[in-house]
Amino acid sequence: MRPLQAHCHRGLGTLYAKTGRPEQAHTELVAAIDLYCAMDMTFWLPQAEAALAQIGEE
Amino acid sequence: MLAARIDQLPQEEKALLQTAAVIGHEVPLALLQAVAELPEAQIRLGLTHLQGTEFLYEMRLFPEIEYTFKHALTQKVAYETVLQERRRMLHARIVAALEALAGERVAEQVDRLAHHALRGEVWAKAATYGQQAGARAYDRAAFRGAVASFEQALQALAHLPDDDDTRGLAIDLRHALGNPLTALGEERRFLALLGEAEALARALDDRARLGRVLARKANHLRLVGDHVGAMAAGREALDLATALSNRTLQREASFSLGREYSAIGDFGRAAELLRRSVEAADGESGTPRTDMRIQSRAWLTRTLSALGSFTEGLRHGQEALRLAMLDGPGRSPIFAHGCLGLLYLARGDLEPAIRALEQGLAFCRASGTRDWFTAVVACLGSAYALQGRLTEGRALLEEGITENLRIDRRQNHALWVTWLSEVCRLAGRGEEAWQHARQALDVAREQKACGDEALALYQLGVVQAHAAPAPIPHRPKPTTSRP
Repeated sequence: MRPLQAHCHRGLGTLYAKTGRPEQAHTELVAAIDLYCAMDMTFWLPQAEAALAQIGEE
Repeated sequence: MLAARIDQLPQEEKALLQTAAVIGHEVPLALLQAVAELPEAQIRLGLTHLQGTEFLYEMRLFPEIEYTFKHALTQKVAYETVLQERRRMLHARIVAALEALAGERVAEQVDRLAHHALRGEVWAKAATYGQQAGARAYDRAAFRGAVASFEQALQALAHLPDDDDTRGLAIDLRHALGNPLTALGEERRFLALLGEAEALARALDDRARLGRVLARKANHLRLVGDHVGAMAAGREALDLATALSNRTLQREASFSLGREYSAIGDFGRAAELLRRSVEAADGESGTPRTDMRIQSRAWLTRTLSALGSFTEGLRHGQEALRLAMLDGPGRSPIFAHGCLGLLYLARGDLEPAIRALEQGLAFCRASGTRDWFTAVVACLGSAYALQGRLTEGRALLEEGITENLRIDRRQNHALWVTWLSEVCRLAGRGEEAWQHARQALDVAREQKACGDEALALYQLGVVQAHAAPAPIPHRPKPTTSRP
């Protein structure tokens, strides 16, 4: 269930970022982005990338 | 009034009108001549008078002369004036005449032949033609007509000697009834027929037929959410197929069991079995194997989309659609569009998903099929919602869920309620989103559907996360309560 796995990584990453755990958020969001890219799931990719970029800015 | 007018006709004209009434509303001259047992000149004279008195009129001259009753009621009343035994004899004679006139093109007349054979009490022919008429009606997506024809064939069968051949045909007819009944969403009725067929096959010790019945039973138990029963029936079917080295049965059992594994979330094993089913179906040729080539591919597409193997899934989905549009009978274009749409949706390709699903929905509405209707509207609702069309999306999802419950289906219920939860969340209805996700989780757990359970848990997490927008350092005290 790789698409759901990717969504879970994105969800966790976003939540970690929101709760002040940037390193874990980074790990999860990178995992999500890798999976989205591997499966060519471009709809959710920008959301994961935006969340990752936001961690970098903070 | 009409009956009195008919009674006042000269005896031979009255008999001619009655014979025409037994033939039906439309009366081909050649058939009337073959059945009426009157000299041609007398028939023509009688027809002239019956036209003059406005009982009949000439409808067409080409390709053959055909008369029709002025009113449907005239035909009905004339038919009712025929004594029962003569009526039966005339119907039987019409069967023989139709067969003789049709020659090699008898297949084109099976609907009429089935009708007259049943009323003429020509039981063996009524069973055979009823079965053929049912298959023909199903192929042109006339599901109610198909059910009626198969049921008439079963009715005829009850009058035949109770030997092994009759019992075998009784199993096959119950099996054949499954396609139109499924299309109409009459799951429980078909499960009852499958129970009867299973008992007949076990009593006959006909292991090949038993295997087919069990493979079918597995599929329909899955649809009503009985995954334990579905798995047991599917495995027994596959064991029988292996023991008998019956390749067709192996394909059917693999297909059935593959769908069951897919339903409980064991997508890897499901894909393996469904690939086998595709290969086996490709090794055969012609209808109904073409239907099986489409169905196997459509289900493999759906399973591969859950695994994220979109490239392989797309290949199979597009091939299923090509075959379905080429010569796929009955519901094939619907589920080919549905499964391809689902794959696009899972990958987030909303435009092609919506195109495929809207096309599938159009086929559903045109044919009146209910089983794939629920899947297609639910997928389309989810696609609309992801595109921001929340009101339309919610309406379609609710329609799909309601219809699924109405036709007594439980399969996919958890998945669609999870999607509804997401639509509610996107619309800012956190409490409803939570409730739906909880309900989806309960259903998935009750059905032991691990894939649906994982999705429902993810959705609960998403709903909860979005309900707690509290970044550090202003984070309030952590809570585990609902949003």
